[in-house]
Amino acid sequence: MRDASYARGGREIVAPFTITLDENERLAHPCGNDAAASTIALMAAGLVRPASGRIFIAAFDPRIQPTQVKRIVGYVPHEALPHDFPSFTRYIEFRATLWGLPRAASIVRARALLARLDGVHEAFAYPLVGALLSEPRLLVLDRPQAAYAPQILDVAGECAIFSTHVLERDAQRFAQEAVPV
Amino acid sequence: MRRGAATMAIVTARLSKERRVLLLAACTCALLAYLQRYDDAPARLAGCLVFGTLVGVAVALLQRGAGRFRELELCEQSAPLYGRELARATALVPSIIVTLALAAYWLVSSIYVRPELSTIAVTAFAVYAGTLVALCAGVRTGAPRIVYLIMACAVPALAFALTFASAALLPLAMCALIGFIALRQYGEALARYDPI
Repeated sequence: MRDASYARGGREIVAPFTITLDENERLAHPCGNDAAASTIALMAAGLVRPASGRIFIAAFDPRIQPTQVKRIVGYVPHEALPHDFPSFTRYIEFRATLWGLPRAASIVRARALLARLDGVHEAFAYPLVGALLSEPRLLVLDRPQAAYAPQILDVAGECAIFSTHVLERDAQRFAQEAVPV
Repeated sequence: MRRGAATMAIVTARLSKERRVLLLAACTCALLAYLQRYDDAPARLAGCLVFGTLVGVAVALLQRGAGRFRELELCEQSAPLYGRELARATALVPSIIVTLALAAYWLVSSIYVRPELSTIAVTAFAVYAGTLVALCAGVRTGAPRIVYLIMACAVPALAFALTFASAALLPLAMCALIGFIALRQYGEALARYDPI
């Protein structure tokens, strides 16, 4: 992200900032408030366009190549979302279809990942498994709990992780819990 | 192949969440068909257009941005699909609901009067076009949203006026053109859609 900022209705939500994340690198980024943390995570995942500045994800510009970006990024939202799917299997089948992945193999892989997320609440575990299903090169986490850091690193494997946090203390705690690459 | 599968997955997932709306729309249209007067052909067509459009606009507005399908929407938005693919899949849902609602209407009305094929075609085309325009309102806010809603309601009114003023093909062609443009617009709006 180069001088990326975001504004809505004339109000600046994210001030211009620059971040570089290399392959396999992990970064916990303090954002100051919830709105900024949520917006920066969405921008990093290529789901929201910055008002100014540029974002490149693995040399792809989300404005010009959105599908290429979405293919290599996994996004995990912060909110404990109500489940729009009747079961975990249906959720995984849906994601596998949208990403063009083999359905049966995806379910097996998802169940294996979920088994490794022991102790993680399903409201966070399900979207995390869904995001990792397509083996992304970048995993974007919107305000994850520090307590889940070891499990997240365990399942994320070699992919780069970018997480947003409200406070510096939360970011540091998440980074400490996470074993640096 | 994959694109078709993705469309089917989105339509199935959304329709399974909209079963109550579908049932309500079909029952309402059936009830309105029962209460409709049948001694006047223009009034019959106008009634069907109004009921169908109301259902189409309501269902179209419920599709996006209302916070009903937050998880589903985030999933769809983060999937490697183009805006137009997402638009086609999302547009199918209100179209299917409207089709079933109109079918319920025509089924009940056929008890009282034999429906003409041209009337059914005009109704279907006009309501689909209005629904597609209303979908564009769902991804906008403020004045543009109101303008799109007015246009969604104006399309069936225009089709109604043209039905009695010209050949039957003209309102059909107009509705098809408006529907196509609205779907393109919706696809472009979804490509730029901001989930915040």
